[in-house]
Amino acid sequence: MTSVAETVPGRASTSVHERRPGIRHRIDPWQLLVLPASAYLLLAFAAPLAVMFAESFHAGGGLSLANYDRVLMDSRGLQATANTVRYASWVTFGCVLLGVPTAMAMVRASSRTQMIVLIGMLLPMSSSIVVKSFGWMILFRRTGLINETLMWLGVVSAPVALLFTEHGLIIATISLKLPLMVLPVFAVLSQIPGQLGDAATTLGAGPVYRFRRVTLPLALPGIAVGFAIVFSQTAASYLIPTLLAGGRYPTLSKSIVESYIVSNAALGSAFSVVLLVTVGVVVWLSGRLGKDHQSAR
Amino acid sequence: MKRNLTLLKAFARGLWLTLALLIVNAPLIIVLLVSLSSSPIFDLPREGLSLRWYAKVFQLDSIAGPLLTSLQLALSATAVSLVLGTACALGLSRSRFPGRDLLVTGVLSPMMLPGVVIGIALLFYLRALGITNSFLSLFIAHVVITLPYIVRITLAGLSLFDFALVDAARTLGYPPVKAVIKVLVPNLAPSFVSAAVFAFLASFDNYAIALFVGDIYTVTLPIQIINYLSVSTDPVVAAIAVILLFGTLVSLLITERLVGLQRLAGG
Repeated sequence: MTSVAETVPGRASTSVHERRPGIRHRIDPWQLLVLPASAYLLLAFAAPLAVMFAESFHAGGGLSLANYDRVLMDSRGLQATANTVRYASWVTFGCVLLGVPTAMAMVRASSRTQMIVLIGMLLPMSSSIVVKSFGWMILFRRTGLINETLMWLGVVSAPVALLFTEHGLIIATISLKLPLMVLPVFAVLSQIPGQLGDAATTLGAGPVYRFRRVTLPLALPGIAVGFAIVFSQTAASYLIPTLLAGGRYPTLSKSIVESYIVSNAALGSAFSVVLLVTVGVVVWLSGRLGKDHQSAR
Repeated sequence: MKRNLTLLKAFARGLWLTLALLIVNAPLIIVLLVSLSSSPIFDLPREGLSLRWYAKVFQLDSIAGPLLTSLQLALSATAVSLVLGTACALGLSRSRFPGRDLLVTGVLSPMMLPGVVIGIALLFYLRALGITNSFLSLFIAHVVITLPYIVRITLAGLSLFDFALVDAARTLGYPPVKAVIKVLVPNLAPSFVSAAVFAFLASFDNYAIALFVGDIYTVTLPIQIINYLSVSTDPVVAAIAVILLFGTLVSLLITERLVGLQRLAGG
């Protein structure tokens, strides 16, 4: 993924340790420092995933694609994949739509307001997802606050079904994941000198042109980061769809857990690989979005 | 006229930010209200307010153990990740070898991967290796998930640091280790603090891994909360959540005082 570290080219490389022509293969001792963490992740992260990948081709005592057949051809497996992609896409879309204007408003606010909004964004992010999901369950009840307000306002005459529906799940997840979009976009935008926008205005740019040609291109690396995090976390979430959508709404992560509960590890592994590939493709695409833009600038 | 427009814009901005904060914090506000309810049902207070659930938290035996387990786990995983992650970030920021970008992606990838998948993959792997100690398994998994936070935030901090300063200190006669301690460490201190806070919270709130790797003797707090909610419907859980929330708020305010929260948003 594109972190700020990657978008800001390291100035470090211009120091005296830069490889000089003529001196070949001199290993900078600093480079060796990556080894312990790399070795750890190789043993405790890459190896388990590799074992799981191999396991997913296991069926009936031999190697086969039978598990993938069940994931991608079976109606429930297919539904789980489709639900996951649709759910995560809507949530990511909603987070971009709400998050980008929020980050823009934050950048233009006073530093005191910035601090309050930052704490207000970090606080829910760092509190238990279990508890937050329960908060939404209470809000979504037929006699919950949302329905009571809507009926009091006269918008609806009968309670709207929100709990155990897809739109309810999407609304709640947008609220839970919004900080993950706002924070990276804010981080990128706050590094841009404020005069840049003013200069555009002075030169006669209207607000729409200014947003499209100045703010949006500059915010794009941040949006790419937020996009990747929100999509992957939503697609991967297990607890939120379990609590808010119930058993009739299969997703990939729920199918993974269900397969392991009935001790069909091979099928669960195949579901895991499909989820990993789905998330991987989106993360890779959003990384390209941020990078392409970097090189074009 | 122009002044009115500016005022209007500032008002619209304030309204939008308030709305965004309300959307994001809605479930927390609900939980706060539930915790103050006097009725023994997990719902908004409709009959009256009371603090009885807060009193009950301190009489529960089932919370102290998991809380301690979660704290031990988060602290030890964060400490080990800080050492491994800082070293890794230093190495990455100093190197331009082929495949470096691939290595960065690889090191950061546990952050992007579904926790459920990491949990299940590790469960089978560790079992195959004969590691059955539940706390040790959880610790191994939590280092995997906290490490990317440390690397990412420290790497971002390092991208703004000029290594020529270390070389300058050495030219001025500092031995290598002392040059690093005197120049690099103070410059990176804010990154360390924000990286540690993020890693700690990532570990403390993780349920996906403990769902598989834990056993009945090693229960973390998020798992205990899920268990409690499935057997009881009283608002004690809401009270616990509010107490934890208060702890988080205090640690965020301290971080803001020490290093500024902008660093937490960045990284």
